[in-house]
Amino acid sequence: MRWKDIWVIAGKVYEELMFQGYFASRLTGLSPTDKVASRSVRNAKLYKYFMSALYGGMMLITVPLGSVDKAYLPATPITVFFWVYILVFISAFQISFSVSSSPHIRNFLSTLPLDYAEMQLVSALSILRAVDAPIAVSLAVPLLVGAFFGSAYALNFFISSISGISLALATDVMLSYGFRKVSIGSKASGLLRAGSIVPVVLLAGVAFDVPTFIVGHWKAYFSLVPVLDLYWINATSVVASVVYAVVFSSLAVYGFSRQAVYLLVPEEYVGKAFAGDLNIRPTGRTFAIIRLDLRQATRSRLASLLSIPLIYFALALVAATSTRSLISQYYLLFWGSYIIPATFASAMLAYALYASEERGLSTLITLPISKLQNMLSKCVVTMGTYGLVSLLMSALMVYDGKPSYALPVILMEFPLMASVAFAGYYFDKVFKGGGAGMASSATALFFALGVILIISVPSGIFLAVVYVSGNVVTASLALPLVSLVEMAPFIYALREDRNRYKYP
Amino acid sequence: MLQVSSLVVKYGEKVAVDHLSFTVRAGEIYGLLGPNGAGKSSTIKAILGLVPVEEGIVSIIGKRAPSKDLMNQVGVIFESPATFDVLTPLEFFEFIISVRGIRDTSRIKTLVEAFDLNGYMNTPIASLSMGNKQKVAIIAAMLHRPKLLLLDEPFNGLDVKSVRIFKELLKMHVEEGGSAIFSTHILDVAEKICTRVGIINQGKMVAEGTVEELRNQVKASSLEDVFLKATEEEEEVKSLVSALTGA
Repeated sequence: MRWKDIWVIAGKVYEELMFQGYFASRLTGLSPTDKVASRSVRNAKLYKYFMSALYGGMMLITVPLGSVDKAYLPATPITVFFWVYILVFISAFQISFSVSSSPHIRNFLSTLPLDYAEMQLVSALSILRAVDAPIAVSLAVPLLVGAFFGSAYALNFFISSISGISLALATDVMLSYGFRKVSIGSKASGLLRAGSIVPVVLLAGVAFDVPTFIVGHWKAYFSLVPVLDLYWINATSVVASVVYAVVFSSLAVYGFSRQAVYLLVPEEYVGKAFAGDLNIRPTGRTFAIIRLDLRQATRSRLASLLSIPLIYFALALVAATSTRSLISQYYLLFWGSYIIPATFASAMLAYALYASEERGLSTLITLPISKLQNMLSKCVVTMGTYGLVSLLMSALMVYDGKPSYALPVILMEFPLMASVAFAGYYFDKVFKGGGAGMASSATALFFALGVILIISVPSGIFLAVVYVSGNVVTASLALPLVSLVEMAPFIYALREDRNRYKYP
Repeated sequence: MLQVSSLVVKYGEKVAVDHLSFTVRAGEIYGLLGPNGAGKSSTIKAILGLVPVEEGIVSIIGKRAPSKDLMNQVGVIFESPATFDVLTPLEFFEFIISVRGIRDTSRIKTLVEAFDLNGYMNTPIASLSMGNKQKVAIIAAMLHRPKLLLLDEPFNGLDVKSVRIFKELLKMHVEEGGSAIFSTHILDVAEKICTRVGIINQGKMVAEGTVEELRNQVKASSLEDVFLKATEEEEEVKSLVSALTGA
């Protein structure tokens, strides 16, 4: 077969993988309408360009910050490494689920006049097409910025990029391998999915922070990461960097070739066979919904959202220990900068839980579950997730001798509750009927904007009252009071029966 | 048991169900037949309130639908099994009976045994074959002994044994006074198990009655012939077949 034809087929397979990945992320299996399907394919295509532009832009902004103060300069290759890693990892991650579970790709390819070697080539190219633009940006932007610093930095940035790209692909391949090897419902699967987001969030947090730390702090910050600690501009570090780049690249190439083969091997089920008596344990209605939500949250890609608030806590802890004197000056603002994103991430979990219901929505809708019962369940899961983080943060504040600051941290549960009520209302309106709506990037974006507003209003009023009165405890009361007002119209709208269309 | 009066469903400008009326009595299996896109699935979804209804009234056991209170009286099997893929069948059934307030678990065991699902009870639903997913959906729909079953292509993916088991279950269901709407393309099955059938085309009822009555009305030998005549597809089929023969 001609190279051009193979390239075209690989493009179609790539689109299918992105489409499947998109569906895996929204966890639905309802047949989308033609319009929705074509839109999601188009979105999938645009996604990599959008991400490439976004992260390329972030590199253009953050990496030159090293030139503001010479002390920052040694940190810049690491910044490059982080951004490249995140961009390539996220882009490749989109199809990890699809690659690990797409037997129909093999079935499709086997109907075409391709021999096995050509099928492998199509398979490999289809995966590569998911990361072509991100890799191009990851190489071009650092070289461009490196040229600004001088040829030594251009070389070092280039090596950093290669390392970042390779390690990202290798990580992705390992995750894909893991997804393939563990069964969907197993605890290992849940842990793997929960953990899959950890490197991205951690590195994203670090990448934002790197230019803001002076080198002394920065060294302490990375003393636990010997690989990265070597990225200094001297002969030893360049040699070490090259060695790492070669090791990571070898891992990536080997893993990548294995991943391409995954698409071509028959599906194998690796779950446990069941033997023995059925141990059926009926529970109360509300608990049954909560248990369903917990299972959805821990066994799907949603699991990663559960871990984000905890990661924010970890980031806050690291930052708090490395810049202690600075924090005591801006105690409230420092913790606020971690608590608000943690609250936001917990609220997005509510969105994800509602979105995950799409798959079984037609069944769910035939069950005697009220909208408020359903919302209550989402509240338990999301508030429980944030609750754990708020307790940990509160404990730190008590340890710091500032127990009054723990009160607003705990009371942030109220804006979160209002966000969950908003999620219930939003899904009731947008996703009415079995499959009439579909979770998409756009619906997630609108929801996110709504949640930002819902969390910002009480938080803003709280900060304003602190500024005026200087009393954290009094100001904290604004959080529940304002949130309850925000929540009221959503609760009122949700008091009715489940999301069924009314007859005229 | 079920009364549908002048039901109208629209998707934008397209009229999917056009002033459709029919009644399903207790102890009756009502076959809802029609070509692809005739409005069968939309009718079932409209009864449940899953799609917007422009006009019409639906009553189930004398109560206006859709309503949460009626949901313990209705069991639904959709064309594509609507389950939660991350759950195992065991967990899915646990969820269903918990929400429906059923404490007696013996029916689950009986149905699981009947449909040969024992070996898959701890397997994530996502990993099941189409047929086994359909079995899970059937069991889930029948656990609470609903009075009315809404069945949209319920035999999708089922093996011969399971089809037989399901037919027997349906028979028992109507003998106990239950009723069912049975939407299908498999006319042979409809002919055998439906008490009455309604044939719809472009959202409108074009023929209704027992299979025998319809055969007599149009002087046809089988339900397939009745169907093609009622949907005005007979001539088109003849010309297409002759074109194929010529080719």
